[in-house]
Amino acid sequence: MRILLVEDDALLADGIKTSLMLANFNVDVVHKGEHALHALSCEQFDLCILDIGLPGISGFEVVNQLRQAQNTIPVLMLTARDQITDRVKGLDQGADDYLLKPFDVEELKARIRALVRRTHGEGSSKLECGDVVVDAQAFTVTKGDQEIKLSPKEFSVLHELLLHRGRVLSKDQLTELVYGWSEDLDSNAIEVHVHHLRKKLGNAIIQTIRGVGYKVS
Amino acid sequence: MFHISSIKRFLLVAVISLITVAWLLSAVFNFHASREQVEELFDAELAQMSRILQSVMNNHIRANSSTFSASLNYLDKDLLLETFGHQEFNELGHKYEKKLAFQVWDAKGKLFFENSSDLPKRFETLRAGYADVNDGKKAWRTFTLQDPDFGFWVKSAQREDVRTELTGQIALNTMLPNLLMIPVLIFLIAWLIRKGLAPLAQISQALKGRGYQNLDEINAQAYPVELRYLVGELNDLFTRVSEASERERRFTADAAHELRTPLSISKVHLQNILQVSQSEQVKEFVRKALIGIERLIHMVQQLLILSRLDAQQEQEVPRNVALYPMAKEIVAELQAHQTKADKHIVIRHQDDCLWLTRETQMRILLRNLLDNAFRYANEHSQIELELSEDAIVVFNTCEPMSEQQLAWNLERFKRGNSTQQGSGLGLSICQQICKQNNYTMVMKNRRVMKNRSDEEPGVEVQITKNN
Repeated sequence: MRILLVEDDALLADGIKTSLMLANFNVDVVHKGEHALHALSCEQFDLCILDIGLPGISGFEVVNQLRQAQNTIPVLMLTARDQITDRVKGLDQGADDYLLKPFDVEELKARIRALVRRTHGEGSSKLECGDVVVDAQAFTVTKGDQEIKLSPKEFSVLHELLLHRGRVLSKDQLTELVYGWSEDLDSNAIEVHVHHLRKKLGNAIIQTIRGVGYKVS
Repeated sequence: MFHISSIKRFLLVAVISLITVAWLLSAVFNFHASREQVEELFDAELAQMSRILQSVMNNHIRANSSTFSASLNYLDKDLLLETFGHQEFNELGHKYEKKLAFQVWDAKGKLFFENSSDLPKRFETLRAGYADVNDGKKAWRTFTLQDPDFGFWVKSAQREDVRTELTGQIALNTMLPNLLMIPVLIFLIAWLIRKGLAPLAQISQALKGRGYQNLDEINAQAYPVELRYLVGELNDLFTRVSEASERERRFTADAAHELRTPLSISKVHLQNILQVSQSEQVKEFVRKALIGIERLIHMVQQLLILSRLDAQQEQEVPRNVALYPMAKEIVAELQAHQTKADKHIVIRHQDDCLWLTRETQMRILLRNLLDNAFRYANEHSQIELELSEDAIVVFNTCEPMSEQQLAWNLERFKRGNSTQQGSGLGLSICQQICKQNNYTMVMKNRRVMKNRSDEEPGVEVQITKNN
């Protein structure tokens, strides 16, 4: 799952990024509201964690502009402002959730999962496709009664395809969602992961749409 | 310099005393002046009477073309007596008329006639003019004159006691209106002083009636010129206090707010270490560091609450709040955050327990009381919360405390037990809320029955409404 973290404090951004990456989220960081708007308009993210007190454009303004541009990405506001008026303002501008600093990392992860689930119309953290069940919270995949061991990136590819079930995701989109900006990778990395997934879970689960990308029906 | 405890009383006493003394002095002076004037009038009356009698006698002698002795044969003594009086006078006269006496002597010292036998009859003492005569029985004021044509003497007299009584009465009569005016004057002075000092009383009332946090300006134009400067200075003071208070509040709020980010950084990185570290020793150190961070976070939160209490009080209007549902929510919240589920809270209540109060402040109060009890209660113990229409009582078992410790607990940054993770602000916040809402907060030792034979010590915090 690819997350855009918008936080002006580099130390905090680094800490949150590390926490989330340890939980197998793919996190990209920007430190300004303008950069966030640019990134969100150009690339695909599953969720945006947005600080309110940003230099330049504030978090309130960022979420407002996003919603005006019909961008429906789930936004989790992260701020030191605890006044009810600030929370109400943030939610009214279009944010989906609000987390107060200092927070517990486990709570942040749970809120991210809940937001993504809600966005994709899922009732629980478990995504199913036939007899394959992906538990994003426990980070496990089972096929029938058998647990299937997946690498973190294989898990991410499968999770993204299941989150966008019914939609075709191009190789570039999948690369962005799984790797973000920070990693150098081979051009056929996604193909390799899909190959491994088919090998472990069966060929039927992921369809190749020739010349376009992959999808899970 | 003497101390004035009440301007109104001082002015009343001073003005009334001055007026009374001035009135007394003027009354004494007036009394004497009036007496002298009346004496002069009486003397003039005596002289006038003597002259009239002398004139009547002189005319009589001339009319009869004779000497004094010869003319006496033709003189009608009865008519004289009737005219100048000896007998009782009728209602047309004056009650003091009969006190006037006269004698007529011839030049050789023979008393021709008199209208009163009381008047001393000594020819050798006759001297023209006024004299005071006292024969041991009565005192008289006399006026004597001798007729220049025929040499007879006329003496008119008035009793001194009558004169004194009359002069006293007349002098007193002149003072009576002034005497009657005194209570009216005192009443008017008191009314005027009260009226004049009313603006001062209004300022006192305006200051007394406002809450201790009300630093709104007073309308200086509503007061007399003499007080406008004072009111202006008071308003300046209010502004300065308000600004200082706002600065302090903002500083605390800003400081607490700005602390949130560094605290988040520390917490996130420590949690990351906890997750990735393979060393149990490192994990143990990190857990302890996290406890410290949690304590700091709690303190920051309490500081923020403290800095906002005043503003909340101004913004929030008291309304009926059901304490029991609120307490249930807080208890559930506190128990959910409990790391060890070894303490539990029992709520005893009467219905919903409606209190007319500010909801936010009541929530903070209950939360802090229960959070405090949670922190300091013995392990595996029960915390009791009793709710009624008049009181909130929270009890937790713990070691008994000295009076000094009990007092310390209500002070800022003083923690009951240094091994606990409190901020030392919880109960002082409760106390401030109580002060703002006119409640009394008391903390005391209490013992409860642990079982049939053993008692267990503990501490009770009681909040009661003040009347």
